[in-house]
Amino acid sequence: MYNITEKIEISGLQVRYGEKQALKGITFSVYEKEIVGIIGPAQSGKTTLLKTLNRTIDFVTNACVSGIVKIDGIDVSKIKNANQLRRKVGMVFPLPVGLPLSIYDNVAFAPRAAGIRRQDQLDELVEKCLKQAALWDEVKDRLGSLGTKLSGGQQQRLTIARALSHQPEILCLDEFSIAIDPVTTMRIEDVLRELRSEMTILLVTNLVQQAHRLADRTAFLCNGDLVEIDDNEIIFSDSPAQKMTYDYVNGNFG
Amino acid sequence: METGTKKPIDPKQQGRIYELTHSPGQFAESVIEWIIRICGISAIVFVFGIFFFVFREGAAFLFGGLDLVQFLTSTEWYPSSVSNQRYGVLALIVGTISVTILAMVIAVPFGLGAAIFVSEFCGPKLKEVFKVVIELLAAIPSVVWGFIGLQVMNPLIIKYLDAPIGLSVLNGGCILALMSVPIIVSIGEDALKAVPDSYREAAEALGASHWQVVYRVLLPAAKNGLLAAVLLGTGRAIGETMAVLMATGHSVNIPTSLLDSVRTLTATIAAELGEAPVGSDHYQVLFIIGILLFTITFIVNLTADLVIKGISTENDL
Repeated sequence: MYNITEKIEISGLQVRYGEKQALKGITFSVYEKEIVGIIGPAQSGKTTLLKTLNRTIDFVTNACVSGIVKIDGIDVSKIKNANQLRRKVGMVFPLPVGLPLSIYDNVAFAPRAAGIRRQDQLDELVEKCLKQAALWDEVKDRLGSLGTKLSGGQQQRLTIARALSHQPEILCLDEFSIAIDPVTTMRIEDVLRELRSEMTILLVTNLVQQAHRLADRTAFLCNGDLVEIDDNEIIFSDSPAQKMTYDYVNGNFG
Repeated sequence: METGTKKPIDPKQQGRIYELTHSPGQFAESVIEWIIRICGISAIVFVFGIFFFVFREGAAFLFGGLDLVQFLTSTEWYPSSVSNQRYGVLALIVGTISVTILAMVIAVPFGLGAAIFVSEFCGPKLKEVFKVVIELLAAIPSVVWGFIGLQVMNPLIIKYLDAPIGLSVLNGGCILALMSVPIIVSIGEDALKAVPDSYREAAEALGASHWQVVYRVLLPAAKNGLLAAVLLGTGRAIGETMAVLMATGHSVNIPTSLLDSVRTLTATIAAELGEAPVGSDHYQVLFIIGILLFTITFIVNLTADLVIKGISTENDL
């Protein structure tokens, strides 16, 4: 059903913030061009997991990472230039962060940082990414105005366009729908369905149904442990391997 | 609250009853509100009070006797000449401006650079050390700075730049720059610190290098605060008296090079006010110079306001 090349291999990944153990040794793989949903209650380590992928965890001063994360077979902790890694892994945060720049500059930020200077190339890329994020029609006449002035839903699509602008191979979304209305959420979900043919997507979400709708496989994290990862048909069936998963998915957890 | 009326309250009266029955909490609230209001108003009162006093001392001569064109365009400053007093402050204005510009040319890049370093690039321990040192630098009295200009910079400039005298625009500008840098650093650092961390995270996740994050995201986001830092630094440079009095050579002169001595508006007031007979033309002219200084700082602040507004309307499109 999916391409069997392993895009991301995680083995024995542990993360501690000072005394607090955020991830307690988890192991799983993500295959190329699939959507993996990651669900779990608050404090279960979902965001931490994403942060280890693009090594933004490096900026957390008291974080201590052990275990191995490989992307395309390369151990990310051994990559010298983390910026190169970050260009490969697009990241969308829970709250939309429009950088205090124009819409155009927001999207052109990463390509420029990567060294693309030619105006026609940038124009083309900005248009393509905004179209991919289903935002182009709404903003094409005011690309010069501030990105922070857009509405919440538009800003979230802007951050998606921005995450796409460095043509990542992996796209991580961290509870992207937390601050936007259901209609916009649906539009973005459609966008993600189209993107799956081009990249691997990791979708952290609090909405169990969202993972159900979008993902090929879903991982259930709880308190830093990986409880279960399996095909959606199994996770959302009446008989997943763990009873805990069933309880969480069906809302009678705890 | 004593709203124990048996009749149903007429909706039109409701607001009124509420007003009449202040609880102690509400009373304290209004007292605090008034105290804060007085604090706010006092700032305005002081500014107008100072302006009024300065203006009153100089007004008589400003409107009767002083040739304003000559005052602003002549370089002849002979206030205590017996036969023919001449009050031309052009050289003093040029002196103030030249020293201030030089100070800013040095202090703005250094100050902003240091602010960026302290806020973004140095470790937490080093940061503490830096902040203490910078505060210490800001606390050095201006007369000590003047002393450094006179006793340290002066011989250095004579020795290495082969100048006949080391008390000059260069000397004064350097001293003023050193005095402005701490202000620019501490306010600039506050401005950078106020930029939400989410901006940094977002930019870093996009694969931007540390410097790219600073240059493309933090500086635009903090530009108003940074501009305020530069302006307060400029204000300090324009208003500084004792240090420039000691370091610039204090000679009335339009400078043609950095090594020329100049005299500033502020230093003139400080040096001559004690000798001018109260109420004399000379005395009044010194107050008119005070008004002039007021006007200059006002123009600087106004320009800055307009620049900031200009920046924000541009983005409003």
